[in-house]
Amino acid sequence: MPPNPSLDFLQQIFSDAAWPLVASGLRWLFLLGLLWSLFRYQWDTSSNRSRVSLPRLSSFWTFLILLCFGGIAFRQAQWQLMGRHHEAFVSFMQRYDRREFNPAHRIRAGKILDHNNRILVESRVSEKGVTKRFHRYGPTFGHVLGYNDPVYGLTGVESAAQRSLLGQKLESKQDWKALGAEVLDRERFAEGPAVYTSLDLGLQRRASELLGDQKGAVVVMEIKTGEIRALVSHPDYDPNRLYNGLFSGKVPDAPLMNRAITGHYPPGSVFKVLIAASALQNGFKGTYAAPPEGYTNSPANPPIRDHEYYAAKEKGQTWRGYGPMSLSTALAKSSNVFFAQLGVDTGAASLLRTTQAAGLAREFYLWPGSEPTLRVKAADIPDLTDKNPYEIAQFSIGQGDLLVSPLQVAMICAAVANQGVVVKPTLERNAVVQPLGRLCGPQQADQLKWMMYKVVQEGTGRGMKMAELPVAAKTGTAQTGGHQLSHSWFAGFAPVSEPRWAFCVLVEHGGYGSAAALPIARDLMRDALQEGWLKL
Amino acid sequence: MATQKKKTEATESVAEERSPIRWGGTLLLMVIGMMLVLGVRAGAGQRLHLSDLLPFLLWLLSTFFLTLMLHWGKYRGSRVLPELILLLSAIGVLVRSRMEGSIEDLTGWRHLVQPLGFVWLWLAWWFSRKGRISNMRWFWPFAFLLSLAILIGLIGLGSQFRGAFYGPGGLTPSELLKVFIPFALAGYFSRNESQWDARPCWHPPWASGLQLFMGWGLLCGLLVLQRDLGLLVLLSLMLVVMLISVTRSWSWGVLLIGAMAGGGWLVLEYVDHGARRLQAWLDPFADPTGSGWQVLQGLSGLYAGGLTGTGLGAGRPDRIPIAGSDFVYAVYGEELGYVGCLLLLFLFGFLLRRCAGVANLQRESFPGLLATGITAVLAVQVLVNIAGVVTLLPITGITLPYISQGGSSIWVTSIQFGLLLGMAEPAVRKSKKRASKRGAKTKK
Repeated sequence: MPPNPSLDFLQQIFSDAAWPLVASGLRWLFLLGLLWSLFRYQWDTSSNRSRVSLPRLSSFWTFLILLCFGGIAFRQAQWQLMGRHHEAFVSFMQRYDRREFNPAHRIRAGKILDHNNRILVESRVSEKGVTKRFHRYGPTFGHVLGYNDPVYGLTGVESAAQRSLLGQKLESKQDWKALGAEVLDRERFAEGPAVYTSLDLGLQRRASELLGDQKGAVVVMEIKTGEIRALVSHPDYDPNRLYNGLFSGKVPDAPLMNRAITGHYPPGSVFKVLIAASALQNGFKGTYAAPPEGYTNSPANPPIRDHEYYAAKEKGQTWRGYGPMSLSTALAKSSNVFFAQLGVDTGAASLLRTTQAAGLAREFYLWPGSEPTLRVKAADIPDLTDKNPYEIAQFSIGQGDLLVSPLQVAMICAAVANQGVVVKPTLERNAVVQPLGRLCGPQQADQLKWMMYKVVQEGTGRGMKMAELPVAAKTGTAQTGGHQLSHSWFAGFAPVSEPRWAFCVLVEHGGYGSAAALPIARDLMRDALQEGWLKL
Repeated sequence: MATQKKKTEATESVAEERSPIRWGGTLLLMVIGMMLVLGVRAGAGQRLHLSDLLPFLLWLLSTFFLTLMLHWGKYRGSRVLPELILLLSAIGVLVRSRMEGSIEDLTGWRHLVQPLGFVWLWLAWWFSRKGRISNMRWFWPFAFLLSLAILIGLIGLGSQFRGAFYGPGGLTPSELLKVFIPFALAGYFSRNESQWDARPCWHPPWASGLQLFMGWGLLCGLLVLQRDLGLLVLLSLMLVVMLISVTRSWSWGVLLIGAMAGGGWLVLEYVDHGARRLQAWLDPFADPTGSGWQVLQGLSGLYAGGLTGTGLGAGRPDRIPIAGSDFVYAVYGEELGYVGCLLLLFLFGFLLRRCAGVANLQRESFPGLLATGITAVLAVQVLVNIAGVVTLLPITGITLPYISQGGSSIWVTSIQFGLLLGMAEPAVRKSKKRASKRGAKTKK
């Protein structure tokens, strides 16, 4: 091994305090020196020899080579200088580039706004120069907007819209100016453009307050466009304060789960709206009676009874049943026995067709792209056959193997108010309206609309009756088995004459629909009207 | 006009004796670059030893001896050509010294690559200068057979790594084809020049064309078997350039389209994950952590470099997979910025211009075609490698001459440069000078 002495004099130069300054000077000197020597060597005028060795070259070859070099220089500039305006590229660098000096890490994601331009999420720069996402309203928008965290990753709208939050389109002269400044001065903190959501700040906050400690979900959506104004799921989590335990699965009640779109629940009586639509579509006009002994097809199956029977039994009285009644009355009274018979007579094929046509079997996303936390899964629909009428009867009262999410229930209610057309729900503001399916024809939808109005006027939803806002709705009380209370549903739309909003409230194990879910919906609608969130 | 020409030639012969090759600017750049690289290394807490200076000192010594040899040998060709070659080699040494970060590498043989390359350059120059290259034309069939032998030997004996075949010691002898094939083609075409002259592609000389087609088919078949599509594309493009040059008919350019279509089909058919590679080119964001990873990391490096770069030595080549060979341009762009990249493009442009000038200088067809072929190989290498990094073309695995790592690549490029230097000083034939010059003017 030859001797390898250390270079102390160089070490001293480099450890000098002035070295960084000298180094940056040398960097420039290197580029200048390269420029100088390149052109000095090339255009050598000291002798005529260069001319001799440089005869005329075919202009085509020169042109071809220049074209290639020009193309390379142009393409490279698109990445190296203008990469900031390539959203996917910035997104890639922020996620996967580990060069800490890469200016892409200093590009801040844009703000997320509600549909009235109010800021919901913004990027803040700490004193150390680290950017961090900040949710102004903490847990309120946690599920729907998700989080953007260097440790825990990306979910919700933060993930789905990340590219547009980071990138920038060059549209005006001003943008080109800004680009020039960015290329020259890389220390600036650039911010991406804002993204608008369809959410309403006031409504979402109020819905969250009203749901309070109860587990459940609230969905409010525009009927004509499918824009979601509120999407609340409780229990929630604070996207500003993520911790490992949240993801370990040891936290009770799964606060990360968005119950409004990924929760699958038996819908109970709210599903009767769809059964009624199917029957109307088949031209049903008749009546059924609801005897106290209920409906069953064999002694092995416990009879399906109306809740009046149980209520009377509890008080030690006997209930005499309902005589023959119309669909409208049965919906208002939410008669299980009526709907069991109606479903069986309508037939498995018709019911399944309506369920499919209403878009319940379709999976879709609330934001363009395929962000898993914004995926609305298809409902669990049992394989009905006419050979098994008891299963059809259970399906007809929203029990059995049927499971849907609160958003899907709101979708059905919106379709009733929208002449039977099911519109795809979305979180984007001013999104293109996309039909998802068809619940029933416009005439049937109109009939159904007034039937649901009757539910509020004189049926199980009487508690919703408000002089200032005529609402059409349906209650639901879904048994979950075991000894826990039933899930409490309340879904409908308002106002009846010119429907604007469809809503759905679910309270897990809240008991009767009129007991837990209805007051939340009532207070929310009343406040929305008072505060001007809902304009008639 | 004629008198003027006479005058320039007269002044030329005077100037030849007096102007040595200038490399002061190159030396200055080397010193600045070395300080920057070592400064970063010291800033990272590494103790500097004499061995850290080794690559720079070796370059300095070998450059000194090379210029001395050129001087003593009375090199009379273009002096700009060796000056640009030396500038390029200095940049290459600086960029590579950055990537051979560990101590073992620093003291290892890798730093002998460039100095040994200068030895090859000198030898190639010596054996080809003053028209000596024309006397070696007889070797052309053997150059072709040797190329085939190299490929067959590699397939039979070589070891496969990352889809390519390597010889013993990680060498890639197939790089030699970048010299042998232009040599063989130049010999072949100069022998059959009268048959090919002025023949467009729709009316080729059938007998000779068939020979060429068969020979080329054999070569391509072996290259496909070896999965070396980069070299296949490189040599095919060079063939097109030589065809245009020897026939003086642009119509042969349509072969380009055929070559591109064939290349695309071959990639899809024969390369592992060929479709994925093409997709990584068309849309690297479709699979950013998989097939698009290398390209995107390279582009991230470029973006991090920005306009003026992070400074020599301050980049992070370790973030880019195989940064040393395929993606050396991304490392360079990260450290010297867009400005530095433009300057490098200018350097390559000037250099290629000078090489083409050497080809145009030739009065005989064989050295003229050989110089054309070598220039085409260099040009395609530069363009295809850089275009791959900036996503104009898919990644082919072609190296960047004199900048990329890899002994075989640097040595073969050295031989190419040496041949060009040798051909830059054509044979002096005092009596026939006028006549042959006129004859050469008709040829491209």
